[in-house]
Amino acid sequence: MQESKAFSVLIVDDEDALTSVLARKFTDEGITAYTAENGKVGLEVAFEKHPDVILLDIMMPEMDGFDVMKALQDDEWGRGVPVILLTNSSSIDTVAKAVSSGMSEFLVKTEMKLDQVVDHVKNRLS
Amino acid sequence: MEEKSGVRELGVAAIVFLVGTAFVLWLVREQVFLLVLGNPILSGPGVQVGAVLLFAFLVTLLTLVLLVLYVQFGMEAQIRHAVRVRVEERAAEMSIFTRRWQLMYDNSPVPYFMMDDAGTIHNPNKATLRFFGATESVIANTKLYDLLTQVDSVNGEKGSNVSLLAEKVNRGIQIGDQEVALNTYGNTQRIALLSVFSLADDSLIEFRHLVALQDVTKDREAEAVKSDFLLLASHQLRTPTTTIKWYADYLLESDAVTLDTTVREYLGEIYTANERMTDLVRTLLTVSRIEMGTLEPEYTRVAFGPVIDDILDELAPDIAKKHTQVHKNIVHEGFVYTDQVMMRIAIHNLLTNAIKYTPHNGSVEIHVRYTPENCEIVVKDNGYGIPAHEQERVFTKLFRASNAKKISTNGTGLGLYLTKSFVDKLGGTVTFESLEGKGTIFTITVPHIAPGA
Repeated sequence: MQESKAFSVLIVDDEDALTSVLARKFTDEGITAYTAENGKVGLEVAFEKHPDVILLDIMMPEMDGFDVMKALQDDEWGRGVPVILLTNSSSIDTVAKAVSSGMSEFLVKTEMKLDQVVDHVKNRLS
Repeated sequence: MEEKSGVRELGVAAIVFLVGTAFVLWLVREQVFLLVLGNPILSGPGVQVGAVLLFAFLVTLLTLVLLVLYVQFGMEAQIRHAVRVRVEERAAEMSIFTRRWQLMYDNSPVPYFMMDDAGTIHNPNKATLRFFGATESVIANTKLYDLLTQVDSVNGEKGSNVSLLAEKVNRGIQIGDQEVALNTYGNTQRIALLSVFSLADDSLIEFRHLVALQDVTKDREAEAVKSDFLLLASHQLRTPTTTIKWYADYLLESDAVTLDTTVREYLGEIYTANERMTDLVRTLLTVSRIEMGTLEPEYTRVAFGPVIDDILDELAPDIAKKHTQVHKNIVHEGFVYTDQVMMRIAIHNLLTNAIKYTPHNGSVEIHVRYTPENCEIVVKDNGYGIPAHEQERVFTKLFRASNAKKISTNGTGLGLYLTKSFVDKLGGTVTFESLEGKGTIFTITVPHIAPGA
């Protein structure tokens, strides 16, 4: 766990309760967790902190996940950062759109335990 | 036969006539000879007989010719008359038929029009005018291909394939229920199923394509609303269940939290109940998608061994709790082209039922057998079975067997309905045999390559 101290993750989701328990779990695992309650704030934090992985929700006010993806693709650092889609919509349309927008993974929140989310992020970090 | 006997009768009549004429001529021979030859008494009786016979023969021949001519002309006139009458009758019938057909064409609720090779619209019916929201003079000079904004290809791929469509139409290929989007004169876009039926190219008809449109704009709108609602509902229902799941999970799993036994047990109950709720939401969403027809399979190469192992891993706690003997048998692992997610759910439901409705220490077997044409998955248990009188309703939505309800109150009655819906969708079949108190055998057969793959 020592070496993972340097890693950081950004969680962008409008459900405060979900982001806070997830952030706590990451902190317990020694990973710095930044949180943002919508796409707009998420993008600001992303460009400021340059996290190693971004966990991104789709349906959010202000700026949704796909808009965030578009903005990231326009940035040199943004193009390289792994983005994991974290959503509760498992419709085929959403998955297809996510894949084509450049997201590297697609996780359905309700199907995942906290450990599993952390494992997916760790896989991206190593 | 009839004609032959007619000829024979004519021959007999001619001979009788010949004899009669000869007889009459013989009686009046002197007058005849005088009249014809200018000499009443010819030299010798032999010459007289010969002359009379010759005259009689000539008269008979003449009569016959006249008779034949008369009959011939008479029959022809008769035939001509009959034909004229028939033609007039047919013309009247055709006129009625044409008028009736025209009435149907003009007033059909389906938009119909004729079209030439360039795509120009001719003879639009009333429904066409309503569909486009324009008068005949406006429509009649418009090209259909200019109005099309989108033509979906056969596999539902969106794109503008207007020129491809025109080429197909002009080559006489029948177009059936092709989904298209069209601009109308009311400045709205409409979605329609387009069908084109064509006469042969060498036909004398100028506008050889009959076009029919089926307006599905409202259906598509309703589907979109339903789909939006489902998306919203799924999101709204899943957010609170996810919150419960993650907090209970954090409390149960985190090293940072110490729980006394009762709290841990209660949290466990909350977690399990929430999982059931999540499962139910997922199932309901799936059922809704099936009913809306928006659930499309994704075909990949699927081997059932790993799928079954994964399901058995998931069911391991239930299997352990009931001490169920599970036996898995795959003769030779193979693969089929099908939808892995749908098949997983289909098999999962059969295995869950087998474990749930088999008493403690029971036995559940799963056999997989591949043939070149298909794959057979058999789930066999020695459990409670399905009562005979309820067996025909097994695959209906919300069905739960009366004995199953007594054993467990927890069940949606959607499992087998989903299994059957999925397997049907993938071109397979589900059958079963069951004896109450003895057990049940379910068999899924899926084709080696699903029809849609």
